[in-house]
Amino acid sequence: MRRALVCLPLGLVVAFAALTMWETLARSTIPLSIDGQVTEVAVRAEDGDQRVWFIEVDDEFVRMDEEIGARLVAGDVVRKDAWSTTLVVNGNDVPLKLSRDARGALWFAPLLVILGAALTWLQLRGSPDTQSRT
Amino acid sequence: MSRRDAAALLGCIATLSAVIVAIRLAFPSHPDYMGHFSAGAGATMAFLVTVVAFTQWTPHLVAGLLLLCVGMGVGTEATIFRLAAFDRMDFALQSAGAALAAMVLLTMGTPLRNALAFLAGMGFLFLGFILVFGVAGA
Repeated sequence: MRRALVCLPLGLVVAFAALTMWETLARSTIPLSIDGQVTEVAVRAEDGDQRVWFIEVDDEFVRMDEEIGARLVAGDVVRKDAWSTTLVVNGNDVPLKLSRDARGALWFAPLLVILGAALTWLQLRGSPDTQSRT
Repeated sequence: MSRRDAAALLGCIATLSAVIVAIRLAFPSHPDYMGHFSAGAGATMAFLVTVVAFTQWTPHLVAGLLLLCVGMGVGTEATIFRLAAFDRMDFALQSAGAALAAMVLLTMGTPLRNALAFLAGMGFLFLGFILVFGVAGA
């Protein structure tokens, strides 16, 4: 039990590294299954000159990379299968590719886990106290 | 402070710094990501060592406080750090920072080590605010 608690931070690092990878992939829409009509395209300013694209498809907002979001307008009919690299917009194929962020996450997330594991090992190396003392 | 304590603290600071550099390289168009990571790490480190200073260190306490910090991160991301919408990347990075920062307390350590960890935590927290709000306000 005590060992499990000691390993909790590393477990969280693994989980959040996986979330960074998933989130950047999801913004490319590649892992998502989409089938419906675009009902709203919302663009919001974030962090200076950055813009964030939220596309509403059948009452569900999806955050997308700008390369995809900028192609869509309300009324478009969109469809794609999960993990397909083609988005069909009004019957026309739009090729999808990993964004720069997604490619970055592919090496950043494993590095984060490796650094977390190394730090855990460093902290516990030769430790006399995974037990409390006064 | 023993060499072991010094190595543990410096190892944690070096790891957090290395991750900040890695975030810059992996996500160059999102400099605020560095700020979210740094703020999450700094706030957690400062908070944990402060609580431990007034209680008795146990792995259970550190684990519980870490989970509390991650939960508080949900609140800050939904409020003061919410620039457009709840951002899962911001949340993931600040929480990863919190988890890495908590590793400095995987062992009890001396009061001196914990005092230095508090200062380091405040430094990372300050850096995080500069990177998030400095970038956003630029």
